[in-house]
Amino acid sequence: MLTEIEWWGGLLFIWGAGVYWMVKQESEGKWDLQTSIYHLLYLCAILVLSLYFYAVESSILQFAYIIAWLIGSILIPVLGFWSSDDDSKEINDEGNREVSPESQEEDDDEEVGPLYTFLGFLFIFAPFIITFILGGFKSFELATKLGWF
Amino acid sequence: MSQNSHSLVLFYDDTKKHQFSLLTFWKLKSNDKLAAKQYATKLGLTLSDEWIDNWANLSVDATPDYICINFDTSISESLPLNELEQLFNCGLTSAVIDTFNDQVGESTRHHFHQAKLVNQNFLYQANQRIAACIEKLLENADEESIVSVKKPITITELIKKEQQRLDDANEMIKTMLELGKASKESGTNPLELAKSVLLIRALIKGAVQAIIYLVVTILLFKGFWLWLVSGLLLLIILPLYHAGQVSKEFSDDEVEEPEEPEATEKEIDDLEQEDNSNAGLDEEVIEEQTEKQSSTDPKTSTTE
Repeated sequence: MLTEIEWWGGLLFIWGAGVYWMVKQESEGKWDLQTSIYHLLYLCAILVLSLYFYAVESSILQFAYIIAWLIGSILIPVLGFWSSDDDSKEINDEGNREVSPESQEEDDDEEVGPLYTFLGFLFIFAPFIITFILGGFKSFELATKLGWF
Repeated sequence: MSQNSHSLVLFYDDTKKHQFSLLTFWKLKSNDKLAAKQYATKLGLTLSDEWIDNWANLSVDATPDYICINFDTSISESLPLNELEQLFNCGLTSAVIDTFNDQVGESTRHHFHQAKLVNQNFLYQANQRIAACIEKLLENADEESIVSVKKPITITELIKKEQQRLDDANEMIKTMLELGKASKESGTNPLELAKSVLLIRALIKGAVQAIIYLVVTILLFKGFWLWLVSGLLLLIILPLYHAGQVSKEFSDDEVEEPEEPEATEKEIDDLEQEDNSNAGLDEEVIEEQTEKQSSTDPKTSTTE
């Protein structure tokens, strides 16, 4: 083992990598603001989760850790609301379309309930949420060390 | 021989660049290559011999507002993107190019602004004198022939896409030829051979993915046995999954073959009559397509 990362940390990394792959497939290689924010979130999450398993002694690193945690924690709700905005836009677009009985049947099949939406959201954001909850504890500890509290 | 006829209208904001550009193409038209290259250098342009050779039957028409160049290229070059990129790098502001493919009998019109492919309206709004010039110079184009884009695309991106498309086409032709050769040698059905090749590729792909997972996780994270067991499981699951996807694609293709509806006697008679009248036309179209394919892909024709 080259790092101090525990097995459950590894699982979080693999989960995150799976989500990254899925998001990349969805975005089809296009690069917009949302994708850039996703990438920033991944970077912050990698930094926060990797350093969680190490004792951060340097004050610069401690500061960087807290900043990365703060940025990541802000980006999760931003992205969460962003994707739900897109969904509603799609629904509006569909609303404008002329609906034939056949297509309506297809739509009914494709309609996803709120439970599945929530589960999907959880699947995508859970590795980040867990990472930043853990990072929150560590950040609080580091902030105390830095004398902020 | 079939060719593409282009009408390229250039618009410069800088008067000096407009003049040098005009002199370059004017000298090129008079077949004075040396002088053309000298003026091109003043413009900051490298006028390659390839460029000079590619643009045949050059004619130039200009006013202080625009430079209109008419030229012919081989049908393999749909748009002179490399040349346009160079011109934009040397201070060109906007350009409109109308290309007529005499083989298909269709024309397409592209609008460029600040080295990006844009929509007609966008360009006309950016500079209103362009609309008046184009109306005067080029024939009114149908909406279908005007190329529109969702958002501006840089010429560099277009060149990359074109290159990618050519590479893919060459790769596909090469694979088909190899497949045909292999099936001829082995005496097996080319479709079955393709399926087995794709299956082997899928198995290898899955195995490689699992091995990467195994190595990375064992090296990076604690919990050796967890990663070893999960990695070994993936080593079985991933190749099977990818192979399953390939065989599913093949079985879907077999199922999707459309069933021919039963036709009435009258319909059959009509079809026969139509066939007879179209027979000559079909032959012409096939000949044209073969000619087009051989001229667009010189590599293939040489390989064959």
